[in-house]
Amino acid sequence: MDPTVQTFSILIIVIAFATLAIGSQFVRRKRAAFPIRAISGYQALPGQIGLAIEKGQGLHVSLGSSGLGGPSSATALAANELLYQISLRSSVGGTAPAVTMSETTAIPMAYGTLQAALRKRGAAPRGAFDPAVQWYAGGARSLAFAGAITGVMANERSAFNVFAGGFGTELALPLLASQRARAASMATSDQLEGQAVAYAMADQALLGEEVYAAGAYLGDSAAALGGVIAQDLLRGVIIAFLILTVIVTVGDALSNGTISGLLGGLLGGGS
Amino acid sequence: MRRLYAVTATAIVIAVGLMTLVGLLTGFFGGLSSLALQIALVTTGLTLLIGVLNLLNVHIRRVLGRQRGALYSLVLLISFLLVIALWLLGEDDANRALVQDAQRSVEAALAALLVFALVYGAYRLMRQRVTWAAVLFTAALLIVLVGALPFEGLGILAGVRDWMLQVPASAGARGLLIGIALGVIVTAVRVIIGQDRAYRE
Repeated sequence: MDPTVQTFSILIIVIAFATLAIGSQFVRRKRAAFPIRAISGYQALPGQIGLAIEKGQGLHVSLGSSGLGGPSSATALAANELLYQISLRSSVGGTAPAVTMSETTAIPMAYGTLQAALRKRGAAPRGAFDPAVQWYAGGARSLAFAGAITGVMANERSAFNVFAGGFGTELALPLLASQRARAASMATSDQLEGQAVAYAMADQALLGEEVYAAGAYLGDSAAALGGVIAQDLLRGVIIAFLILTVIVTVGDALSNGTISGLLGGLLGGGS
Repeated sequence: MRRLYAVTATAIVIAVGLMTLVGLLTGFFGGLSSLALQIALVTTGLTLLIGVLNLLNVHIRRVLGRQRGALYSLVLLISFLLVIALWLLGEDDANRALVQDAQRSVEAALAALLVFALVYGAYRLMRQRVTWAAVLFTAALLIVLVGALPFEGLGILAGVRDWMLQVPASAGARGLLIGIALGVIVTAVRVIIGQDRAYRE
């Protein structure tokens, strides 16, 4: 690994460790001292679940191609937290959402999450959620999966569809089907193409890091709120680095490299 | 007993997670971390079996229960059995034909539909929410699409298109990617230090 990349990686991970460990302790004691900005998707979510229950229709959560054991592991865990919060709320009406995924490692994870949510609400009969978790093979561009979940949405007569996980442009197909069925939708993706489609077509879109904050917005966990504080702090550090880089570059252009020479001297690397 | 399982699982995850992280960053524990990664790969491979069983479970139930969409489930089950049977009989050509003639054709049709879905999405964005962001999005979309036309009189638009793709679009994309990367790091660290919700249940 390149030494600079290695140094920055270690620095970022150490900051994340420290902020999470300290931040969640502070949050436990003084929760009101850490207000978080409003995210319209999370604000609308409980209402949409309530509407679906009142209509007697189903809910559908798709995890896309995110799964455990690969680069999309963290996205899968974040989407799983969203699934847990949705299941917790929908279990009030005695239902579990239909969950679809194209990654097989997400199947046990989704089963465990539905079980945990139902158990917390007073244990539904074992097997009540069995047909709710549905796996379909993704294919090269996930178009087959996108086609399959439009069928699931129709079969389950879902009134609220949530797409959180790995999606590309194929996300447009289920979102279009959701619109045609007059169902509400919320979407996010860890891919840029999927985010663009979600922004343009979903009723509510979670952009960038917003999906990773589901526990803090929908749950009551101090650890999750500590995670949001850590994200904000890391974002601040990166913004500071970007601004510093711009200042050094512009300053160097105006003063023939004086600023970088000065900084090099301060950091012990000067001549 | 459940508590004991949870504590044991958490201890294993934290130990293996920290070891792998340190191994990737510094090179220590090289053998142990690669062993952990190999175990993860084997487990991931085994979950494919869970996927197939899940697929059969869902669709057999639907067909037997004559639920909504049972006909599609029947087609899926027949296709599944057909592919397995052809593979067992060694009919590779027939199997290949099934993939090339059926699956690829359907996927190509879906890919063609995608364009209309995306255009409709952009139209719907303006129809439902006329906000500054929506106007900007639509204007950018039109400039990029018109700028891509191969007409000589549209040279300025082509320049604007290139600038938009290279500067604002690229900056926005990097911003989103940085946000996603931060979310990934914080989620991973939460798992490694045992703060994930899954450990408490």
